[in-house]
Amino acid sequence: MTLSTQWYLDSIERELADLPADERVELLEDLAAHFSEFESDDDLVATLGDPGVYARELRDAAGLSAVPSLDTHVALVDRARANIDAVRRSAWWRAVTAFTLELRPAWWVLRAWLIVAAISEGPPGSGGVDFPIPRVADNTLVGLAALMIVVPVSVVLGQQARGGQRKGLNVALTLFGALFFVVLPASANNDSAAPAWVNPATTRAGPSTVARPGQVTSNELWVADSAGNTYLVSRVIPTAPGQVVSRAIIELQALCPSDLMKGPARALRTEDGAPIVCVGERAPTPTLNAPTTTAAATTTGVATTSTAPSATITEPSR
Amino acid sequence: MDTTQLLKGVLDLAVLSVLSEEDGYGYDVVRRLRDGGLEDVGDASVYGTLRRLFQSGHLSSYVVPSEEGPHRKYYALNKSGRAQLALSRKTWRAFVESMSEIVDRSEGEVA
Repeated sequence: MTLSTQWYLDSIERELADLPADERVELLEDLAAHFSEFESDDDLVATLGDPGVYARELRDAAGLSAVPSLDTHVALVDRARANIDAVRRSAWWRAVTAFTLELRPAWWVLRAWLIVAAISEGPPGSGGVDFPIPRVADNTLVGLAALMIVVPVSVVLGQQARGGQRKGLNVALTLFGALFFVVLPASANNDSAAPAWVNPATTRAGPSTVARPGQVTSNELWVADSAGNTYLVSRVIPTAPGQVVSRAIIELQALCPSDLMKGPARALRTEDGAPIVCVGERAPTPTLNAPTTTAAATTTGVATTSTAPSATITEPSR
Repeated sequence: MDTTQLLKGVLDLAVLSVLSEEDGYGYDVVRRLRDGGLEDVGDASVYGTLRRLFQSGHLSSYVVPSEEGPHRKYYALNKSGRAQLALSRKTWRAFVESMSEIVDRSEGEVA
């Protein structure tokens, strides 16, 4: 075999390097024999052309693996792109996209609401948020005002982004809103962690007490939650003689935990609408035989208490 | 019209036809095709086609020892190859007929 033939074969082998070894070896041996027919020619390139071209032609005609692996990646990417383009061009996709674009203004309003909801506290003690107007600083009006500021801002920003300006700010606002979309349900689930309240009527505090106006009753209403924590619900200060303190089932959210006593006292609603003022603090240890029946959430029981006993009542809960 | 493109579609038929006349080895088949009028046929294409037809089971091969040079690998049609040839001939003839009709008709119109 001449030098040039060996070089020619080597060049072809390089082109076919991706083939499995035994296939490649066999093919090249065969080719060597084939090329020996041309030994009379000095220059194989003149007779057969560039070895790289020869190899590709051979690959094509022999039906070998179409392209080396690097090109396969390119081919895959191209095919993926082609598929995506085909979907994009399809009628249903365009319909979906058009519809989604129509919904965009609604999203601007929603994200504004979500942001206001994020800073609101919701109904006292709950993990949820008031709807439709979130309460901010425990005030519905403040929440409304917040909405009236944030919603137009969000809408205007959205419109500007559509016009090409302030796109970054718009994206940030969307992400912010989307974040609370996720966070809010999560915080609402904390309700399940809230302790269930037992019917205070079954606690130590009896249903009746008679007291003089201004006198602190010895009959304190203690409630126990399902976890066994006890809370002093009220120390009723009746204003009228003979006022009866009957059972009170406390609305769930108003736990009257001790830390609340530092702030304005939270007023609770009873069944007849009369507020009970929560002025006590957490009981030291369970000296009560707190029953373990768990009441359903958010039911209000019957109680009559002074509606305006003292300055300790601040705002009603609803 | 680029004959290389045309050839690609029919090289199988050409190779099978040539081999049906007489068994041949690579260089020999190329020469016979060129002598038959396909001057542009590429060596690599014929060689690759021979390999593919062999791998598809249409050809058998045998080696003929030679004193002067390396042994030559001869290809021959087997039963499957003959069947394939018959089928391809039919397809080809039908194709040529349709093409001729279309081409002739258009020529007639222009004139």
